[in-house]
Amino acid sequence: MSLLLSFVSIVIFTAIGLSVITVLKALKKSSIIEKLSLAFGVGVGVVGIQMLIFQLLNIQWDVRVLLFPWILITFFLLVKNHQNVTLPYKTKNDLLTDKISLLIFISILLLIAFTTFEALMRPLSSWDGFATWLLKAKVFYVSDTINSEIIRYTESDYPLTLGLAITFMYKVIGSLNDKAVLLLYPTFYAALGGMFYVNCRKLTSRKVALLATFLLLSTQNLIRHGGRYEAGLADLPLSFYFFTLVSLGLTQLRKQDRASLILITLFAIITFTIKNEGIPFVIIYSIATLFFTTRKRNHVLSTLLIGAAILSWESVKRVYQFPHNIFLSTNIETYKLPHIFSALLNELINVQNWSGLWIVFMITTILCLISKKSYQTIFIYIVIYAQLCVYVIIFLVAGSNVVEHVKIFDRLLIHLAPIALLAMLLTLKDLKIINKFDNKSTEQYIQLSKKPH
Amino acid sequence: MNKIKSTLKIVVIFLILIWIPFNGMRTMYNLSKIYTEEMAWIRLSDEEKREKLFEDRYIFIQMIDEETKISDSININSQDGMVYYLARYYLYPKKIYWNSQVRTNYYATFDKNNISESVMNRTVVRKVKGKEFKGVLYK
Repeated sequence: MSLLLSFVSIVIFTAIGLSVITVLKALKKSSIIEKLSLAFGVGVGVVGIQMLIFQLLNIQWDVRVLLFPWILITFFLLVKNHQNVTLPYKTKNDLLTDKISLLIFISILLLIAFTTFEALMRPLSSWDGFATWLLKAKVFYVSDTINSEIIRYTESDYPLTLGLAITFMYKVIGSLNDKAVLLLYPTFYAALGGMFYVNCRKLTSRKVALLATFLLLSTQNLIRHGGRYEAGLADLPLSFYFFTLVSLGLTQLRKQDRASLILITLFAIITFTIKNEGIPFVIIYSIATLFFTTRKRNHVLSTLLIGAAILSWESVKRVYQFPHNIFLSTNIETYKLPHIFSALLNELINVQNWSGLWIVFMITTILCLISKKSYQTIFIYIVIYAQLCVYVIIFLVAGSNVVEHVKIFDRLLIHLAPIALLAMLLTLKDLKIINKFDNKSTEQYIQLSKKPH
Repeated sequence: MNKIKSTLKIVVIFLILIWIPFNGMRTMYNLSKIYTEEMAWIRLSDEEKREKLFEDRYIFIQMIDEETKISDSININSQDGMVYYLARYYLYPKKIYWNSQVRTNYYATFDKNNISESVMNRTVVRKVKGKEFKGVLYK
């Protein structure tokens, strides 16, 4: 029963996300995979933020009260659009007709099924899961509130959105079941796969896009965080939000669309409320888009909104007396650099965790540097390397034992792994390597996807 | 420069061609774990799974839980950080504090009011599966 209710809460997240996307009139021509994956991420984020706002406004965390605004919005949308309710369409050429594509597709489904099975096989077992993320969810659920005493007791300066979204799941389930709520993690894993496939499909043929998605999802570190022993952390969700933000940004750079920009702004706000590492990422992303976009005015507005949201979040942290944030430290200990780079290099070549992902990425970086490249490729590499620099700086300023601290590089690289794989594809496309394996060009696909069948 | 570029292109294609079957085999290996590893887990209850995952730490936490009330504060004297974090998670809303500057492992003081004013009442010793767990209960 708990598992069923956990599934219901996932459906609720997705439905809420869909209503938000519909209200914003964004992604009108997107495929069903993209809409559902994105809607799930939006749903988790807005429910978490809604619970925090309700707490600040002293509104009770009752499931019915929490769902009321969303039911109202959905009802309004149904009344308004009752005559033109259409399912997201799919193009004829996206049907799985050849055997190789079908085989890869089945492998992807098996991976998702395996990760789900693994997540639900065991109760929570990841260290940071019980020390931070699910502890917060449990504390909020049991106390039915957030206050400075609780925040101090959890000893964590991390944002609250993910913990509150899990608290919402506990509310829907009606009890504390830390096994059932782990269903959230394979869902993030599947949603990441969905978003990744859709974005690869915009660049290349179905077969190559499926193959790239398979390579991403069969990466052992992602499988572990999706369900096998490491479910319960925030790194896989953050990876989903990073990738989705960048992919939305890439689309936005190509075709400027105000509705999508609002969605991107919302997504950026959700991203930095998942984990602290989201704040520098969102800042880097905003600066990079501002640099590459042609419509600066809209992007400046979006950046200002994101900046205001970051400041609001910092104020909330003061209200609840969050512990000290290492980002605010200015004591840079350069003697740590050799340890940091050696640990980073060791992790990049760790085939056990990443297969060939980072090794190929490093070579494609060199290829990108010495070849003609598109502005999208430059954008994506800037974002990846700037965020990697941030991680190095965090290790330099953090007052912890560096030898122990750098062991978390395997988790930090998860945040960037899907973006790195997409960057690889972009480089291979710039070099016309993947075009040789394509059945048809990207332009043809884009044209086809504009015309519903 | 062109020579370097063509060499790197070949290296990338070669690595990707290794990467695909490597991940294919990894996927098969992962799926095989359902039979080789997970069969032992499927039959276990959630409590048994927790004991299997956290071993004697979980048994120790269960002992604390049985010996204390919801309003109690518990001081764990142990070098093992994991037992503290697990206790903090599993025993909430009971308040858990950690003293890591000790040599012993798994020794808890259960404080109902204030440790400095309390009088030792009794020592709880529980033997589970051949291991001895100790806690001191204060009034």
